[in-house]
Amino acid sequence: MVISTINYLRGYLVIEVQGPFLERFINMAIKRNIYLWDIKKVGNSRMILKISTKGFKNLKGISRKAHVKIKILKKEGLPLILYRYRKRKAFFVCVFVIALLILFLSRFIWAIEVSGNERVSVEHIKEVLSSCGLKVGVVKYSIDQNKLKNEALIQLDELSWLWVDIKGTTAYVKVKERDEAPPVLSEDEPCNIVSTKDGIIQNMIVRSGQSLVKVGDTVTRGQLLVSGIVQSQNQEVGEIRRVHADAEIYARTWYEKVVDLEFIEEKRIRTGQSKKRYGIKFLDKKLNLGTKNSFFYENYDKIEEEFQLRLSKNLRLPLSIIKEELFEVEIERRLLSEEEVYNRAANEFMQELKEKNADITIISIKVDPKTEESGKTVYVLTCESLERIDMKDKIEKENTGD
Amino acid sequence: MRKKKSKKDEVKIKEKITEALELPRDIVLDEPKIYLTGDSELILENYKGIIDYDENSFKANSKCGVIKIEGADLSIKNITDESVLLKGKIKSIQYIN
Repeated sequence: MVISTINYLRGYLVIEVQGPFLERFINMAIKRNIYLWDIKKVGNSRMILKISTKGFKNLKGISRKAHVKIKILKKEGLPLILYRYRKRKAFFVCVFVIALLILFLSRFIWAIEVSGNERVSVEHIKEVLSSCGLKVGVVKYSIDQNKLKNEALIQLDELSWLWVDIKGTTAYVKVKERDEAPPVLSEDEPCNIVSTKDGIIQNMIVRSGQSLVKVGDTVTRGQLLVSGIVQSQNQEVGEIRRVHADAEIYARTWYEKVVDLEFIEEKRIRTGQSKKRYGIKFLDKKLNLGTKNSFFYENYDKIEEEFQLRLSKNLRLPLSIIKEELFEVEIERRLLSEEEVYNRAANEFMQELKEKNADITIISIKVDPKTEESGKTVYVLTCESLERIDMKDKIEKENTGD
Repeated sequence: MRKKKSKKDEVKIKEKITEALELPRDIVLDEPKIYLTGDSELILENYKGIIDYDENSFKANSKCGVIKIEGADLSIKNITDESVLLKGKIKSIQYIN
């Protein structure tokens, strides 16, 4: 395979050799380092073989000695093609320009792929990377990998590791998110219990440690609830012991959010009519194909798909084909009742809170309209909830020194 | 007479050394080596010139005598001064002394 490719690039001839001493001809050619291949005997005194153009020039002496006649049947190979097209200057210029263009375009980065992230969004990582110098369209040799990694990691505090692999025109960014290590304290390590939220204590179970608050007390975030430094009851001993405080403390907490509410609901119903069109995107410039002014519907949903062109898996081009599909919609407007709107807002708020706080019990959500100074009406959502607010906090040795 | 004898001795010594040291015979003693893949491809190394070739038979000289390869539709795919690559349906390989 490799040899035949090389032969093709160098150019070769298919020749017919005729004479009584064909074996002698082969032997002599080999002695003179003339490379022959695909030798096939046809009939008694004829054979067809392939020979390099260079070898053919050295063949003259041999043909006389071996008493053979040589006839060229075919010329093949790249030099021949080049020779045939030698007058087509524009063709060669084009080939040259395309080669240059590919060479030039492959100097840039045309795609960034981020993998390994779960919580941090790809957009956010790309944003930070682009501020550190890695973005689509940048010359790949200008990227200082170490500097980029350091700068990006400083800005992306959620990541513990970042690696940039540039393959072809694609930058593969691999990241590892920082696992928020829960401050696990071993059972014999002295600690306090502090509050994680503002609230009013509803219920508390103290297993060890000296409690500093009682049910009904208002506490603020970070306030010491149960101390791990215990004064012994026995005054004579007067000993201060440091213990591992342990408690479950539940408190009533409040959350507030100001929102705008819409009393008119818009429902988009697809009529079943749809249209498609294609376009080409180069970098950020978009060119639509076959655009007509009447392309858009009065009201529509648009689905856009982008296919990036690539030469190979890693060699992507800054060209994309864009497919746009429009679906005609009819908009149905409906006036909602106050109750309906309030319920919807309350539910949304509840979902949001539950996402943020794992073990929260929501007691009630109130919605109150409020007129702002500008005359606009906004709505205040107030949520009352019950949740656990204790958190262990290690006692530092030097702070508690006797 | 004397000269001939010494040459013969030299060959014998060479052969003994080769055997004692387990050297490859084809390299040291310049003997032919044949690789046969299935019945369709044959590589002959260390030959000493082609004697006869046509579609049904191929004869080449070697140190051990004339090697004759018979078959059908034989063609020389590749030939250098050290090896020959034959393609076709190979039926027999024999030495003719």
